[in-house]
Amino acid sequence: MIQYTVEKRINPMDKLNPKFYPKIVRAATLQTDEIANLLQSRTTLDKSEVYSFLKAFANAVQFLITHSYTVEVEGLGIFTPAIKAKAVDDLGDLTAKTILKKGVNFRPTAKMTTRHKSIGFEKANLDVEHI
Amino acid sequence: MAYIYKKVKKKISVGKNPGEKYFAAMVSEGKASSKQVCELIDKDSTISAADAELLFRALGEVVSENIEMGRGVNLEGLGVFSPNLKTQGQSTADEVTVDDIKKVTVNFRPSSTLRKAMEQAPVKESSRFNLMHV
Repeated sequence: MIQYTVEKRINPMDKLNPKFYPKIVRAATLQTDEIANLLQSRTTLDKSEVYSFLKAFANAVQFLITHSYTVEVEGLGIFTPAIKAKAVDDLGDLTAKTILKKGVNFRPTAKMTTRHKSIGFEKANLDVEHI
Repeated sequence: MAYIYKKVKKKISVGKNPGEKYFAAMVSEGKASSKQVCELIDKDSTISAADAELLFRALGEVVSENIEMGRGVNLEGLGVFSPNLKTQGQSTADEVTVDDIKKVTVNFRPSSTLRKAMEQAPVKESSRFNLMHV
C-alpha cells in the first residue's frame, strides 16, 4: 500500500490556473544493513557473504557502465549508460565537449512493472502541499 | 574505459533556433547479461556465480516489496531505488482521487561513488559509426 497526499503545482506559463496532483508520501528508505539482513534470511549465505556480494555488484555495474555496456540484472532490471549533450549548428563544432553530463538510466524488469500495477493506494491525512 | 558516442544529425522544429542540428548520442558497446555479471561477481568476491544469481532474484524481490510499501532501497556504492508516481492533475484538491494515479515507477539515483566514477570516465567517439541521420 502506498500513501499519497495532494500537491498544488503552479504552471509558470499559466499562473492563474494551478493544478492539483497526487504525490507519494515516502516511507523511510531501507538501508544497506537492513537489505543484507533480508537477503541473508532468504538464502543460505551469511551476512559477510551478502555484503561481499553487494560490494562486488556495485563494482560490476560501475565497471560496465563506464565502459559503455548495458547491464542486465535478472529479477531487478537493466542499467543503461546515458549522456546529455547539447545540439550544435555545425558538424565541426560537435566534439566531446558538447557532452554535458554522463549518467545511468534504470528500467525495472517487465515482471516488476506488472506486479506494481496492482499496488493499492491510501490517502494520507496531510495538508495540501504547495510548490 | 570510456563513454562511447556517435554523431547524429536531426531536424529540430521547436524552440528558439529550429533547423538541422548535430549532437552526440550514446553508443552501447554491448549488453552484459545477468550471467556475465554473476561471473564478474564470482571473480571479485567470495560469492559463486550460482549464489550471485540467487541473490539477484532475492534482491529483486526485496526492492519490489519495498517499492510497494512506498519505501526506497539504498544499496551502498550503487544507489537508491525509490517509488514515484505518474499522475494527472485536477482543478481542485477535492477532485484528486486514486484514479489520478496512473502508474508507479521505479526511480534510480546513483550513489556518490558511482556518480564520481561516471563523471571521471572519459568520452570517446565511436569508430563504428559515421554521421547518423535521425
